[in-house]
Amino acid sequence: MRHWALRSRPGFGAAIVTWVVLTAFTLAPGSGAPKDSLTIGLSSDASFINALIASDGQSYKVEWSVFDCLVQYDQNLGIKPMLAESWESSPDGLSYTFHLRKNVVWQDGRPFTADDVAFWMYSMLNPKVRAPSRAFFGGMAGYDELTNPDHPADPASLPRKPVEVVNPSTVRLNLAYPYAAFLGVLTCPRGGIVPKHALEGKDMNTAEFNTKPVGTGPYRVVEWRKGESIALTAFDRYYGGRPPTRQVIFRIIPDPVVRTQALRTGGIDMLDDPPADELDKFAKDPQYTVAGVYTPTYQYFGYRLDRPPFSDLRVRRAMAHAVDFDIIVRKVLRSYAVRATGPIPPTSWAYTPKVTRYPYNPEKAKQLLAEAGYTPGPDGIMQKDGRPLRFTLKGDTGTQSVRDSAVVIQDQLARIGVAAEIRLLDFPTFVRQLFASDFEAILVGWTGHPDPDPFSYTIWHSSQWNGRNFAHYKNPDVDKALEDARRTMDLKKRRDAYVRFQQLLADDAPYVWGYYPKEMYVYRKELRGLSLLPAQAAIFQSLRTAAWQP
Amino acid sequence: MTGYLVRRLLGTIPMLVGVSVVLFLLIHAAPGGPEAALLGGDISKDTAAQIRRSLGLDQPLPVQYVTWLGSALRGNLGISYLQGEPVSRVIHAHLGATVQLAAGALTLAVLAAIPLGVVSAVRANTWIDRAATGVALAGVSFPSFWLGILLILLFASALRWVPASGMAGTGLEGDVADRLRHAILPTITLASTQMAAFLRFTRSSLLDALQQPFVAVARAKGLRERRVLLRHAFRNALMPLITLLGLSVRFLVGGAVLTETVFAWPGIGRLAVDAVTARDYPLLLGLNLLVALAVIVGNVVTDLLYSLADPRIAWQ
Repeated sequence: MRHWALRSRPGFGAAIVTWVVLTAFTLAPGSGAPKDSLTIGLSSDASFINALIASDGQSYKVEWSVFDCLVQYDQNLGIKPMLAESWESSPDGLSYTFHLRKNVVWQDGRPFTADDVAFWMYSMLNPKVRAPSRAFFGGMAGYDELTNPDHPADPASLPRKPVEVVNPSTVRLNLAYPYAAFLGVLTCPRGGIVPKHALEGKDMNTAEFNTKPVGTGPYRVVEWRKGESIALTAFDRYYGGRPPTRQVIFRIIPDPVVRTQALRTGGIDMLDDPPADELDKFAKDPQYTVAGVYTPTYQYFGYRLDRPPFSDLRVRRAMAHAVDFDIIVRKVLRSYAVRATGPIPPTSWAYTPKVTRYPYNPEKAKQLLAEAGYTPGPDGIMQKDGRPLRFTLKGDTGTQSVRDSAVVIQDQLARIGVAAEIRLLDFPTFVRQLFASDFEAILVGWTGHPDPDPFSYTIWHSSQWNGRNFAHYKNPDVDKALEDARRTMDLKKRRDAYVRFQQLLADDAPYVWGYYPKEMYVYRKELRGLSLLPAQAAIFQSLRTAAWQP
Repeated sequence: MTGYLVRRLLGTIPMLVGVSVVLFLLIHAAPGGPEAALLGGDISKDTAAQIRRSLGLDQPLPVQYVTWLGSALRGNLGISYLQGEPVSRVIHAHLGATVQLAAGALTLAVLAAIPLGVVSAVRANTWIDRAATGVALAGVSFPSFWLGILLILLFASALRWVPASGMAGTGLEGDVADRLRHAILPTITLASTQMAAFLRFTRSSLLDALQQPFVAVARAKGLRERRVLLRHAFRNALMPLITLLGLSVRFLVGGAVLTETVFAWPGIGRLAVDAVTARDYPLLLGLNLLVALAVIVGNVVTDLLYSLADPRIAWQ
């Protein structure tokens, strides 16, 4: 049978394929951003661009450039002026008086005054506002009364107010007790000041401001295409002078492989959160700068401490000897991390290496379990009083390093006769179970603060069982050390208290300390002026000085 | 026909209410909650309870549902937890990107698959048929996220023909040529599975039609082969294809979730992923109702197309 009709005309499919190929050939790809612009690839979108209510890391990355704070950290994590050009504290440490810069304007042209600082602080303490950093301001005068969710107090009724506006350029912040970390919690991005005139009388949680913010920072948001990109442009009236790069664009590219390729093809100039297995290739490529810094972040293998089997110190020490985090650092983190010895990282002034360590030693682990009364059961699992040493290890399934580490830990524990069943959960489920203390063992991390107080006190003090101390740790000596460190303004005494705290914790082995990961970035070689601080995502603070080399 | 259409469209309302009940229960049955996304790790038991109370999540489920339904019937689908904006506005901002991608993918799939399917049927068991069948098998077999990344590595990274991701280059949002180049890879990726299905259906339907007695009669009457094929056999073979077109709505939306995530394409597929991750209940409900509505409308359109292809189908 002849089918000449079909042979006489080419297929539409072939035509389409030809068209696609020709289009690809004839349309040269764009060269990415022009040189007065910097494009950064992020793994996910920001939630709100409002320093007061956004707590996720992605929002912070944008907020660094939009909002300024009263004070900021310098390269050595000392405190230096920002919106406040100077300050003094009262002799008893209960009041701080800030003298504000007089030439600061909001990005809508309105002047910045002490009223804005007062509005920001009262919003921070308002229980109706979803302010994730509220607990950091627990030392403010009237904190308990103002933050009562059922009956928040009227500030006017307080015997001592947390904020006093002295004059338009002077504001006083009052504390309930001397709080050594106070200046630290005022830094960016958590301490970003928001304007009274734009938010007063509005619902902070749903205000349009959260997508079209007004800050005092060097860049203002000009367009936010949700899920696609956030475009910032330099603020000409910035009190510190217009930044050298006219435009900063954050592009949202969720897939790490695609994000990496976008850097290679010119779609972005800077790669945030690069895949570990790509870093070595970028490091060898002269077109790129690979930069990294240790931040106050650590990963750990922890447990519920107020019930068996982990309420027994010998079992906890056995776990510490049984898990080899060195191999996890080498194989899983590809050495872009260092072993942790406690909750305070080596970059901190409060860090001490002089703590009890638990080198990998399975035999020692078995010996400790035997001392705790465990004997091998018929199935090889260690048991005590007929109960096998078997537990569930929970983690966040969205984190590759957690998934890989869990398998290594499970295997290492099996070698000493301990059965860990891995259960990886999606982030919302995991977080809910974490804060409900609904776990036996966990594999997770803490993203800390440059000052040791916020993430030491709220995690380890026994008063915080309803807060971050969901592992239910309780040690009166640790409580005392944390209180001493918090309430003295003498840096040496603070350090001594934190050294004592770290040594007590290490002896108690409440976690198996994992590692301090390195925060890594890759960007084009011609990009200058970026600087890393040992604080979470602080490279974004230096976007204001980033410039292309001519 | 008009009466039929009005009846069908009115019938969607109780159907959507029923779907909303099921969706509401399913969404709330999932573990976890929005507090993790709203406050990240910076929460405590107290603040978590406070957040749930502020969002009305401390109310019994029936009360929550009735409150939501009351607002929805007045056109208010609630406020997205994740974005702090009305759900309708959030969806509207992302819908265009998905419609563009899905329409392009469907067009590409139909234009490529039908001619290939016809050739494959007419030249059954030849090398052309085997090649086309192989292409179809590959299209069905390759996961879209894998195919997407492969296309990026080849055409964006190695050959530098097209961009790797996004809808437009920086500062080039108004450049049609640039937007077209950005659309090429995600469109091909999303079209691949549909193309394979259409190709297989076209081939098997046409082969089946070509075996029918009316085709033998048409040939016996001395009609040209082209006329026999296109006017007689192909028209009858269209029926299953129309069904498949109606079904393709849900597959396109499902495919868009993965394709949009891989290509950083800011449509409702990626929005759905973000909404699930954040447990953004109002946004999830809104998105799922939109998809349900699209499927229902797709079915109505399928019925209309049936009548055009086969006049024997009556509107009842």
